[in-house]
Amino acid sequence: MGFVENMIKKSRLKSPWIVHFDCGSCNGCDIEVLACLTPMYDVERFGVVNTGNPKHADVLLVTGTVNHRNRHVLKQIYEQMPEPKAVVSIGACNLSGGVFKDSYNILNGAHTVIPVDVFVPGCPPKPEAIIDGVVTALNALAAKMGLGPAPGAALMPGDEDAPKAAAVG
Amino acid sequence: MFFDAKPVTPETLLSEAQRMADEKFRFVTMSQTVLDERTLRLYYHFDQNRTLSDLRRCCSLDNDSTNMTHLRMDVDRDKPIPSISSIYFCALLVENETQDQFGVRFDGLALDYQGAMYLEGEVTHAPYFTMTTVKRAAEGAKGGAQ
Amino acid sequence: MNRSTVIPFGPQHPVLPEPLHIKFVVEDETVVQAVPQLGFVHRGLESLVRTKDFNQMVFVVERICGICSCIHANCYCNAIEDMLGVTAPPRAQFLRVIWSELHRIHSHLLWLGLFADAFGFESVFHQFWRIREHVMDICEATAGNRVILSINVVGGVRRDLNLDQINWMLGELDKIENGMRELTRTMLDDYTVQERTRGIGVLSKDDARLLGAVGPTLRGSGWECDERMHGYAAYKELNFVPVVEHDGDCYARCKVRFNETLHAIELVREALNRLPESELTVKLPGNPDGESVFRVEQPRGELFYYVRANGSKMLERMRVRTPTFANIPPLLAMLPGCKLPDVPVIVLSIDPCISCTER
Repeated sequence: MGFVENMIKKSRLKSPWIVHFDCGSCNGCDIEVLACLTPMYDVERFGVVNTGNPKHADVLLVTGTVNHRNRHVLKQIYEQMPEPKAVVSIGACNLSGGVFKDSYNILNGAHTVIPVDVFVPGCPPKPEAIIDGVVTALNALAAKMGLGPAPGAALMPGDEDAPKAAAVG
Repeated sequence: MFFDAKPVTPETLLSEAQRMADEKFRFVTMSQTVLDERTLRLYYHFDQNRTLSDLRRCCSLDNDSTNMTHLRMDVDRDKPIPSISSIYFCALLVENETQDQFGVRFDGLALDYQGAMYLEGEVTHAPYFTMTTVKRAAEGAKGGAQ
Repeated sequence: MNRSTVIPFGPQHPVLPEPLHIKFVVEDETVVQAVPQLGFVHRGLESLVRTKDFNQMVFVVERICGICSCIHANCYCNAIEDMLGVTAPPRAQFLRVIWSELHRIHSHLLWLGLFADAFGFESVFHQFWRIREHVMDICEATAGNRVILSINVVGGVRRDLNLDQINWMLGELDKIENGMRELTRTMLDDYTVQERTRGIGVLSKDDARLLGAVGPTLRGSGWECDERMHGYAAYKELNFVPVVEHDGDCYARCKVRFNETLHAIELVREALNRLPESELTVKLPGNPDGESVFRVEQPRGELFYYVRANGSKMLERMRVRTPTFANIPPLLAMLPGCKLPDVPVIVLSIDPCISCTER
C-alpha cells in the first residue's frame, strides 16, 4: 500500500460524507438525524457532511420501515454508493419492523434487503445515539479498508453481567 | 362523536354530491368499512366551513359540534362504484386508496392508479376483505399512472 | 422548440427528507403537469386494529407521524372516549393542549427551517432549528422522550407537571418567543424571502375549498377554518383565535405558520397558568361499541379519525385522514404553470408529511 493511498484512506475516515434515506419512517428518526446537523449537536465540526447524492457518500443512514415499494429504491441507493461503504440502520422500525411488524406491507427490517453494519435501536434514538452509531460505522469502514479490526457487537450497559446472571439463574 | 348519515345509493350519489358542491361544502374524506363478505359501506364526510363567529353564535344550540354532514352508501364489492372525482377532484386519492385496499373498482376516476397507488405489483391481496385480489388492468394498459 | 420532458422529483431528494415522488411534465422551464406517485411509506397500519387492542392502538397511532404524534393520539383517544361516553378530567384536557401545542411549535419551527432551506437560506434553517431545541428539551424533561411523547391514554394522560416544571417551562417559552421575534425581520420582512415566495403557488379562495385544502394552506387562502375553534380538549376555555391570511401564495402560508407559532406559545402559557387541579384519568366503563368520528387540528391541518368498534377489545375498523392527504390535490393544482426552480418551494409550502399521508 502506497503512502498516498494510505493517506487518502485515513482522511476519508476523518471526513465521512453521509447520505440519509428515509424508507418509510414516521419522521421521528428523520428529524433526529437532521437535528444532528443543526447547531445543538452540529456534527459538521467532525467533518460529517450530509450529501444528497449517494455517489458522494461513505455512510448510508437508513430510517423507517422497509416496504415492498421502497426496498427497490433502497437497494438502488446502496448499489450507487462507492466502495468501501457502511450502513447504519436507525430506529426500531428499521431494525425489525417495530410496532408495524404484523402489517401486510412491511418487510422485517433493512437488513433483509442490504447488508447492515451498525444497528441503532430506539423509537426514535436520541441524536447522541445516532452520532455514536456513525462513529461505530467508521470503525467498520476502517476494517473494510484494512486499517483496523472490525467492531465487535457492542455491549450495552449491564450486558457484562448477563452471562453471570444466567449462570446463577 | 356519534353521527347520523344520510343513506344514498350508487344511482343518487352523484346528484347528492353535486348538491353538496353547490352548497359550498368542503369534502373532508371518505371512510370505508366492511359489513360482510360481499358488502362495503362507504361514508362520505363533508364539512360546513363555519367561521368562528358562526360557531360562537350557534355552538350552544348545535349538538353536533363537529359541524359535518355525512352520506352513507352500501355497495356490492363486485359492482363498479361511481366516482365523485368529477365533482370533487380531491376525492381521487381516497377513491384510489379504496381500490387498493378493498379490491373494488371506481368508474370515472380523474386519475386512475389501477390498484397500484400504494401496493407494488407483486402484492396481490387487498388487505381488508378476506380473500380478495386487487383488480389491476393488464400490464400493457397500465400506462397512465405509472 | 417546445418539447415536453418528464422530470422525476424524489423519492430521495435533498430538499425533502421524506420519500415523495412526483413526476413533472415540463416544457422548457415551465411545469405543465404533475403526477404524484405514492406508496413509499405505506405501512398499512390501519390493519393493525385486528391484532392490537384499543389501548395498545394509542401507541400505534402515535407512530403515524413523529412530528405531530401527540395530536394523533389526542384525536384517537377523543374518538374512543366519545364512544365510551367518558370525558377526560379537566387537568388532563389542559395537559393535552399543552403537549399538543408544544408539538405544533416544534413542527412549525421545523417547517420554517426546511422552507428557508428550500430557497437556499441555510443560516435561517439553522437558526430555527436552534430555537426548536428548546421545545425538544421541554418535551424530554416533561414526557421523557424528545419526539414521541406517549402521554395520552384513553381516558386521560399518563404524566403530570409539577410547579417547578411549570415555572421552568414558562422561562423556556420566553426564550422561544424572543428567538422567534428576532427572526421576524430575517424571515418575514426580508426582501429576498419575499422575492422567492410572494405570488408563487397561488391558490385562490374558491379553489382552496373545492380542492379540499386544510390547515395553513386553507387559512392562507382566506378561510377562517381551524378545528380548534370547535373547542375540543381545553381549547373552548382558552383564548383561541385562528390565524388567517388572504393572499393564498407561499408567503401567506409561511406567515400563517409563523404567526401560529407565536399564538401557540401564548396558548401554552395560558394553559400552564390556568392548569386546574383534578385527577389525570377516568376509569373506563368497558369496551367501546359503535361508530364515531373526530377531528382535531394538526400543525398541517385538520386530522380526521373514523373508528368502528363492536364491543370487543379489538376495534373493527379505524380510518385516518391526515392533513397532507387532503393537501395533495391543491398542490397538484398549484404546480402547473410554475417555473422548475420554484417547485421545491411550492411543494414545501403545504408542509408535506408523507408518512402521515400514506400511513
